[in-house]
Amino acid sequence: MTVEETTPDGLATRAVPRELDWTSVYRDQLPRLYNYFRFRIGRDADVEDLTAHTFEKAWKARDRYKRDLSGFSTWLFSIAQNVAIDYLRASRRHLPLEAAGDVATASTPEDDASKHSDIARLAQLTAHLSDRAQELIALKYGAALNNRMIARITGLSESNVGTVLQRTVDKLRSQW
Amino acid sequence: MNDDFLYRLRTEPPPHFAETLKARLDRGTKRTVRAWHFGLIALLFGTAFAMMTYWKQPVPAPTSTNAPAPIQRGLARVFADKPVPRTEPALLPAAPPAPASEDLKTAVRALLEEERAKRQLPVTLSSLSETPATASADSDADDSQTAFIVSGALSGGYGTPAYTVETRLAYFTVMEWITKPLQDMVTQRAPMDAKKAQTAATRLMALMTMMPELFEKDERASGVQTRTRSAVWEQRASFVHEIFEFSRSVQALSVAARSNDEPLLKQATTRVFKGCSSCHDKFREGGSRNAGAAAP
Repeated sequence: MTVEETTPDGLATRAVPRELDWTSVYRDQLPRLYNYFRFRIGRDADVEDLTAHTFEKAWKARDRYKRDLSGFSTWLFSIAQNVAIDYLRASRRHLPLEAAGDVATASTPEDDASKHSDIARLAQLTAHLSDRAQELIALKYGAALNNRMIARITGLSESNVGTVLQRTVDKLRSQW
Repeated sequence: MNDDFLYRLRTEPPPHFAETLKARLDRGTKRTVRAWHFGLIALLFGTAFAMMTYWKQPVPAPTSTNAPAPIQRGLARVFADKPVPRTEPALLPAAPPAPASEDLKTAVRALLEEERAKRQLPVTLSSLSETPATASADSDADDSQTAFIVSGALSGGYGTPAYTVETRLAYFTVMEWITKPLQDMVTQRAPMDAKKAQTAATRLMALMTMMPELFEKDERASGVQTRTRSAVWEQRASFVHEIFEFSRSVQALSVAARSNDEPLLKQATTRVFKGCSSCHDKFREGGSRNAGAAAP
């Protein structure tokens, strides 16, 4: 019995042994999850917290992971989605103190450099997109998942995922 | 901007973060494993101690003053022809058991079906104060061993209620492990196997010494989550009686396993499971509907 799992490039699937090697799972999934939150949230400090929080939740519940029903990535990113939603919901209710600082004071040179980096620019642009489009961008280019995996996680059809992503990238390209 | 550009925006997590998180996850895992190992080791020590104590008991006198004559003859034949093994290797004899005589079959059947109904052994907490060494001379040998098992109730529980419940869960998981081959035999998923039945009976007998102890302290006021019904403490004598009956069933299974009589073995095995169900129906929330699931 094997479990379907994505390869590191996220574009193909492979069969992995039924008994998962959790160390290699961690090694494989950490960059995906980390970059998913980078694309989804944008703030590096919070990205680490959210990545750690997601892994801890998954590690605690890994005995309940139903490996026959879905791939590990699907399961892990379902948890990550919930973590991200909770985070974003809380952020909307309680703006962090740093947000006030952004208004009151000028940016530091480091902040400027960061804001002008590509990822910061992307974050600015994606902030105006719908939640669904932001989610798809994060899953596709942050987590490097293929459209099939994204479809499983989001509940959309595979073709719908492809269409939405294409339109979103076109829109970002026009604004870049 | 294209796909390649967007993929290039990905970056590796900081090594320090990756290492710290991995260490944290490993610590959490190890803590769980350690807790589980501790419980298992404690259980194994308890089982080993119980087995040693059990097998050090005097060889049961095959003739008792109040057992029916067929039982006396049958047991006498079992214990005389093939002395009760007292060492672990002898528990699993290399040679197949000799065919049982009609006397033996009759005796075991009587043991299974009739003796309990006729004798109606009184089980009270006061009667449990007698250890096998001090049991009255005229008590049936099997009864004295069973009384010894049930006398575990007097050793008292220890630890918090939550710890007891956790231990109980582990205990019943082991019970489930032990009885799985028997279950497969009864449900015809596996052929009847006297050797496996004998092994299971031996293990169950050893484990049985712990059972009263695991239900000794009244946990109702603690609020700990458990499927154990209040009846365990409210109807203590009845509960102990169930344990008593179950241990008798296990003893009968042990005897039947040596008889080389498949129908008899199946009957004895079924009786063991009936003992499980009987106790679950009375003392576990959900009764025996969730048979097979370990319950605290």
